[in-house]
Amino acid sequence: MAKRAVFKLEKITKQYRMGEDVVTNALCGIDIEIENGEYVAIIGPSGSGKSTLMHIMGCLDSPTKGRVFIEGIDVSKMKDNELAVVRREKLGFVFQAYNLVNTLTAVENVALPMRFAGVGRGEAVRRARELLKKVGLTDRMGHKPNQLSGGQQQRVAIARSLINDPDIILADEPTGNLDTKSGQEIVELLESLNRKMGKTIVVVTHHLGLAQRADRRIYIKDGKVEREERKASRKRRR
Amino acid sequence: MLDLSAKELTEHKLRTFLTSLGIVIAIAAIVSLGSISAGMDAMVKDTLRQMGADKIIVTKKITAGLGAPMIPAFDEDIVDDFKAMNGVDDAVPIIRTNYLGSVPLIGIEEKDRGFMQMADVDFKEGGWFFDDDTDSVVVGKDFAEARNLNVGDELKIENRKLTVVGIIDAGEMRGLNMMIALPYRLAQDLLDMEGKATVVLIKPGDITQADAIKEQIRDEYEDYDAMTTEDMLARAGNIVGTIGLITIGIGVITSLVAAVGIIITMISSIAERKRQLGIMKAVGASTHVIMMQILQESLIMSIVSGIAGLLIGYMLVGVVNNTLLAGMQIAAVTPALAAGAFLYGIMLSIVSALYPAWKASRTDPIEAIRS
Repeated sequence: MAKRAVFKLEKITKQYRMGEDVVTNALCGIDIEIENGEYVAIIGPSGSGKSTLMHIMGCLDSPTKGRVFIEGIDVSKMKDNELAVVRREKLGFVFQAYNLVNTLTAVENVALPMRFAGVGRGEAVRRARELLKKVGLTDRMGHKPNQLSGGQQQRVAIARSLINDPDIILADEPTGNLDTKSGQEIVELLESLNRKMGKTIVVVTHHLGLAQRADRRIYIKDGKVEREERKASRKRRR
Repeated sequence: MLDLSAKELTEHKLRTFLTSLGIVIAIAAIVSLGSISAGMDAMVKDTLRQMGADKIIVTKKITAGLGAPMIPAFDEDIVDDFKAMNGVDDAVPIIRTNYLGSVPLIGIEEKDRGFMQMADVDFKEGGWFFDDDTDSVVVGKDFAEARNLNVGDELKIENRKLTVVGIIDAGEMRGLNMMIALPYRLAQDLLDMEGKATVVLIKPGDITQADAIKEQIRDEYEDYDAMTTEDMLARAGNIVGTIGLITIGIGVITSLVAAVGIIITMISSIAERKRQLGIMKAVGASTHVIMMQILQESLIMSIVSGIAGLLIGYMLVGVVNNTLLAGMQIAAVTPALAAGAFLYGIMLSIVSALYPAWKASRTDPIEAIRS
């Protein structure tokens, strides 16, 4: 697999206006480049701006200044609907609170992004079942989120993030709501997506155990990149 | 995505029911009121047409006061005065009143039947009575059907047992199909109107003289009212027009209430579903997809409530026919009325859902996933 930058952030600034003349700088000129197949952890204390960074990388929010390239395409000035397409086609999301639709079953939740892309129910459900099998939920497909444990819900969310076969998975504190054992299973699942399927994984966390599995760790503090560390011991596969 | 919309609706049955209720009521109101006013219109016009376009109808003016009869009677001998008037070809007295409030009851002599288009009418069963019969009655087929009457059956009027001797099938002339006809003298006897009539029908020698004769009667007989068939049709048209306006008015009001109901319940439902909608946007739903989802929910609700509204409307029409209209199927839901009301309900529902759908499509995914 040839190396190419799947994410390129150039001088990203995000300001929030609080009232008339109070401006808060959530991000102050961040430059990050992430290559395909990388497993990257973004680490920082709460309030460091890591969630804002994640939202900008995930095309859920736009930077005040700077440019974001996803697979070479500048998304920083895209309109809402164009961003929706990028989120659907290029990115998969895993959230701390799982964020499943409560009224839908596991299989329907997983199929959802594919249905949004205009794929028919039958095809989307077929693919959703395959993915649920892969994450070990063969016997939970017809269950609704409230009938699943936290770990199972997060697996459903991971299956959902894979449905449109994106190259990039963004995970925001994916183990934050889980007990140690379930958290560990999710960490391993994410890692296997990177190792076995070659997905680019970006994990935002303040959980050091999770961060240590990553190839690269980017530390964020006060809206700036404080430092970066690369895991030297692991052999880069590819 | 229709399955997802349907699922959302069935997951929240009470909310769906409340949102749909307005449309159900609006359609039921439009269908039932519309069919009543259309039925009334047809009935009144048929009845008048039955008298022929060239007649002058003379009645006594209604005197105000308690106990005044709806159709006042007068001395039948006045017919001779009308006959003697210039330009009058013939004049006949008849008894015309209402049985059970809405069924026309007509007492008429054999020689005068031509005045009411009854001379050559077809019979489904049996035939005419004679002038001197004292217990015979002829009914229209609609009335017979409503009362399940056959020739030889008994019909009680004013506590007298009469025998049905004929059932008229006047085809398109619905006025005849829903009336009761009696021999003139028998009608006078039954209604305690010996020597009296309630209507005089005048046939002018030439139709162009009808207005002149009418005016002359109005001038010379202060207590009497004279109208040509045309006048009566115009007057009936006004009354029916008023009923029609009331129908439209009620339709508009119920529609507005329904629309406001839909908007309010949908907006509150969207506020409740903010997180769900935000998640959908976060995982790639465009504003268009979200809008379509909400509009489809509205479409499904409007189709179901349209069917319910039509059923309730049909039932209301049945109740009206069986109570106010003595069992005759006067108020009728025509296919055009049903289709019109149904499509109107769908349109109303979709238009009302436009704003909530737009609002839903603007849900901020970040807010939703933060919560």
